[in-house]
Amino acid sequence: MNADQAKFLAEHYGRVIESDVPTTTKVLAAVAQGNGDYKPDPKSRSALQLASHIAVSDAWFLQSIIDGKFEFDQAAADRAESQFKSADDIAAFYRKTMPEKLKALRALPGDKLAREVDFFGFMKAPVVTFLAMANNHGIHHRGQLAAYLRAMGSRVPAIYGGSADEPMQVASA
Amino acid sequence: MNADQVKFLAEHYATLLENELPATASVLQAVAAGDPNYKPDTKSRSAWDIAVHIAQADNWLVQSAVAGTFHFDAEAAKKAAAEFKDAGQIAAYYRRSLPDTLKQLRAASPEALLKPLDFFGVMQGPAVNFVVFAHDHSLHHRGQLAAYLRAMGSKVPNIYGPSADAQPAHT
Repeated sequence: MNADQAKFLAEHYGRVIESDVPTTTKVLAAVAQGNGDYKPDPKSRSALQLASHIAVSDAWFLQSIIDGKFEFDQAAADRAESQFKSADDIAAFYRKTMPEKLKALRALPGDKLAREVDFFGFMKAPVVTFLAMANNHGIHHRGQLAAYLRAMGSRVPAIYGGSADEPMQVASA
Repeated sequence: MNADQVKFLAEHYATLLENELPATASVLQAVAAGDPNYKPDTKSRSAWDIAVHIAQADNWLVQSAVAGTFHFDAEAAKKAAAEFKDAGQIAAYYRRSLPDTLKQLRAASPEALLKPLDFFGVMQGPAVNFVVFAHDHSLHHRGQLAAYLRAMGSKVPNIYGPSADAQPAHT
């Protein structure tokens, strides 16, 4: 991948992730309206654990790409996730942090984005391609969390279209 | 977006969808090991309905983007869905159909991928944007369906890492 392609891909994901931030924030905030300890099975993560994981890992992925290296510090991740006292805290963190990370991402030059990095020994690829992993991981877990919401006593916001709880509003002419 | 960029983006998403195919097929297949009528709430779709939706929408969205028009035939979709007798058939259909759809995507001209499209008055943009939508929409619903699996008596396959149900067991 050349520098121009890397810059183009970073701009693309910058737009995609930016447009998803309000939706993800709504799903995180919706956890506050139900039982945050809900989990569909004893082996599953609770709603609050899943919400924390989405917020912290989305930010971690972007920061790692900005830094050009992947390092995972379990203790730091645990500390980051335990800083939240409520789902509203998680949503507020996400709303504030993601635009800051996206701004830093967009400031990166193409040659830095095209540089190959190692992802924990599993694969090596241009760092910009890990934006796809960040995006996919966030969407996956947000989908999981959305499936928890009604069962835990909350409501599902509109995500890729209206939901039964938040039908699509069509603007009148 | 110029012609080189749109082909680059289409190839990027064709590769992503191709890479996700085994995990998506595993999640669809996992519906067969539990109660397909399970839904976490009366307002929610059943596991079966989500599985059918993923399998049909992934193909329909990409094919429509490549064809340059969105036309949804609800009767035809219902008829096609009625042909699935079990979740194994949905997974098999997905495994069989998606590679052909991705072949169409890769063969699309830059002009076709750049063609401005209207999605039922809700979204407008170049055709390639709807391939992006297809991809993200699929992962969203697969995440939902994955969250149903244990509650419906099935197991969660590995998706972006080992699941607690994977063999050998991981925590």
